[in-house]
Amino acid sequence: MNPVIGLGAWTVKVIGAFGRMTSFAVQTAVASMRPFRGRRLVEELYRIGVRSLVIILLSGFVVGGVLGLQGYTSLARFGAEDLLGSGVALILIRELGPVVTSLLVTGRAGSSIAAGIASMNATEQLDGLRMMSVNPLGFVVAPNALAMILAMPLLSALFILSGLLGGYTVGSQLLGVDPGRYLTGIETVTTFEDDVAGSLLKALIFGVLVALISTYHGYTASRNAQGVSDATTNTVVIGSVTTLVVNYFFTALWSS
Amino acid sequence: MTVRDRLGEGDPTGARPATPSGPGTPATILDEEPAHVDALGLRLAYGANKVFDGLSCRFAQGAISCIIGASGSGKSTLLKLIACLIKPDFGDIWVGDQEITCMPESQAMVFRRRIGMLFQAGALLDSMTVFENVALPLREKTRLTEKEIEEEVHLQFEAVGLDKVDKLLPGELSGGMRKRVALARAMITRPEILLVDEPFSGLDPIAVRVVEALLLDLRERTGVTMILVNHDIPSTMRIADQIVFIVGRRTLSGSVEEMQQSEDRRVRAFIDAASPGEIDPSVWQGQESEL
Repeated sequence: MNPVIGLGAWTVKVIGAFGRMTSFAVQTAVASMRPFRGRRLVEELYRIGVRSLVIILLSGFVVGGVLGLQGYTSLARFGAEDLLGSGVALILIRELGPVVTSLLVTGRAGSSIAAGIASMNATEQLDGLRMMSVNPLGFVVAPNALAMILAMPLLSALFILSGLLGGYTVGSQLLGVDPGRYLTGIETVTTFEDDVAGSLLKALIFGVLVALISTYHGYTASRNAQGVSDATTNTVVIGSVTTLVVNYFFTALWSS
Repeated sequence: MTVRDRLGEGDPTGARPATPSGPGTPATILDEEPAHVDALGLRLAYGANKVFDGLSCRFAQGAISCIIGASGSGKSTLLKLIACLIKPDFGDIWVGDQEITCMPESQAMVFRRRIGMLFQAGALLDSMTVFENVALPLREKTRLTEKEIEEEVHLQFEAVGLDKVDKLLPGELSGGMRKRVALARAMITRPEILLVDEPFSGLDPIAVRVVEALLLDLRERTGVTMILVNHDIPSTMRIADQIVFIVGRRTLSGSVEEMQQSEDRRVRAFIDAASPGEIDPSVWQGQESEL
């Protein structure tokens, strides 16, 4: 095929996919309000948020511990071990907290959402809802998406706290950094406007993106086992790559 | 031949045709009962694969109509078209005096309150208990209190012969019980039309007879118009008032007696295949090429 024609076809395909996804997002947003299903939202918050807690806390602790270990080794060369708390805090709050949380939640909850909706589609459960005059976008998709959007910043915050604890344990308890200096370093270097708000906003944006990607791929999957498998894979791959790419642009914009 | 053979091109004016009658027209159930559902000149294709190419058929009011035909002939697709879950590329479907193919989804949602559907695998929501599944249409679409909903659900359970299943999950039910729960859910809003996709698939012979009795009892009590897709010829012969046989772009329809007496080789092959003995495979080859 002529490369120009190929590029044109690819561009049309990508723009079409963006259009369909945007339309899906708007329809879901409208359906989520009429009626608002609080109970379904709480159920999904439990499934997506609470059941991701262990993996988030464990991963956060280990990542914080590694940061403490590596940070101490580097800072010790310049006799600046006391800055360990500041370094661990900034890296966790600004970057690793939201990004690693998003990657973990995409793999655990995003894939589960996509597979769940796709299998409901394959087993005609979504058609069953339509036959009861219940809009599947409002009943199934919206609670999942909203729960993901709400859970992501909260999980990211817990990841960061767990990471700070991991850094503290390794730095102060194992490597001998003064605990008071570690904690003071966190307090002095962190500002709410620049660091905490930016971190939570970043996690919220990741939540919106992962929610959209996972529900869209689940809802539009082919009605067979291969469709369920593809929806899961696409969610994890596209969700992870999107997180990393958007993180770069967000950081660049936020810093400037 | 007494079986009505329709080519099904439909009326180009879009007007709903009157039920045919008069001298020379054989008496069938459609002459005795007004048509409740009229499909006219349906065309539907997925890419190059033509599912329907001008198919027409009618379903009598208050009757049990069974759609039969070869695998892949579009029987379940026809049910979904009537349920407004998919739209044809061309053609009309009239349900009563309402044409449904041009409806936007918001209107289709309202229209579907007139219709219940029993899916082949039940389509029960896996994450909800049996009670919650059956109560769902009432909770979503009525202002009944929880107590009234509970009473209504248990009445439906009684009607389909279920007891002490409230807290079970669909995964804990046998195939026959799933069908009965799905039937209870489909009927709880008292629809005027019940669409049933392969109600007997995967059931043992006794469970088949139980579901048959349930469907007959339901029609007797409620007068609901039932449209079934059914591969089970003996059960079709036992319960159907009208049989619609999809063969290629045409439908052959008539009563059970008319179908049994039909001399059409494809009808005969289909009916004879359910009996012990040899069948002529060339008939099937002919049918497939026509499909």
